[in-house]
Amino acid sequence: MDLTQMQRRLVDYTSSLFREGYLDDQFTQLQQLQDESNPDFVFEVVTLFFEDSQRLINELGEALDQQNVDFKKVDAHVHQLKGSSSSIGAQRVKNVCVIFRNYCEERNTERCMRCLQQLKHENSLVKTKLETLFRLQQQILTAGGSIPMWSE
Amino acid sequence: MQVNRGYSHFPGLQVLVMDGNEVSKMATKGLLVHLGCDVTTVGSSEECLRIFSHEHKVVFTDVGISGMDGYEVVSVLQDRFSARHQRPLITALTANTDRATKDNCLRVGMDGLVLKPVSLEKMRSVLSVLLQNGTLRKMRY
Repeated sequence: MDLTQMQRRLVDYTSSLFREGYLDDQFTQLQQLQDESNPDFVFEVVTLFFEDSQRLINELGEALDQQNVDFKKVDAHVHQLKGSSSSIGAQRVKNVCVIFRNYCEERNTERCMRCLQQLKHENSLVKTKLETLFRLQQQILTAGGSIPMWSE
Repeated sequence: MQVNRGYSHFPGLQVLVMDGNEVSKMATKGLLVHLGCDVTTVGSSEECLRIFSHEHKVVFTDVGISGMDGYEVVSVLQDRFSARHQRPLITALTANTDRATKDNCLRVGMDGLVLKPVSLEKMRSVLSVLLQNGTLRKMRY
């Protein structure tokens, strides 16, 4: 695959992530902050997010596994995850968090547990998608090319 | 907030960011650094009060984070300033835009409230308006 094809593939793949709702404009905002003085900014923020999201998902699992669920605690964790997913533009994860918080307010354990499963799923999906994105970017850089700018 | 394109870059502006969310904090720092600011970040109200110095001209604070109430931090910071020093411009940077949050921000005398996540253009505009309308206008930063 030549450089132009790789760049085309990256543009198409990135567009699909926005089109399918995995990412929103906040991801584009992060891209704008990456420059020569901060060349790995997006990768670093995204990496931090997935460390954070895994920790919060684990804590949510423990919190919902209690006989008497502390919904304030559950809500606090979901609030954190909503904030961090929102910060990197992980739209689907953020949207699940919004629904999750509603069920926390209702103190509905079963629905909360379903939301947690959905969170795990969406988190895993967007992680895979972004890993692919970064891999495609790296292939272009290794081939001596530059990352094309794209729009959502 | 009226968009003001008076300033596009803020070289050396000392900003303190208080946010209990590590990812959000990193994103905000990246944004401000990109705009030329000299940024310090803290993760709690207690740390904010410990780290804060008169060099910090702008403070962005999340509100409603655990520990000391974020609003109380504003009151404490404002009380620290004597007539010889100008207080920092303090703006809430929060995902909460409900009525209670807005009322509380007004009550404690914050200089503004910004919804996060904030775009590059919005942050540029916020800093520009803060600096042009606040007391930093005549000071070197």
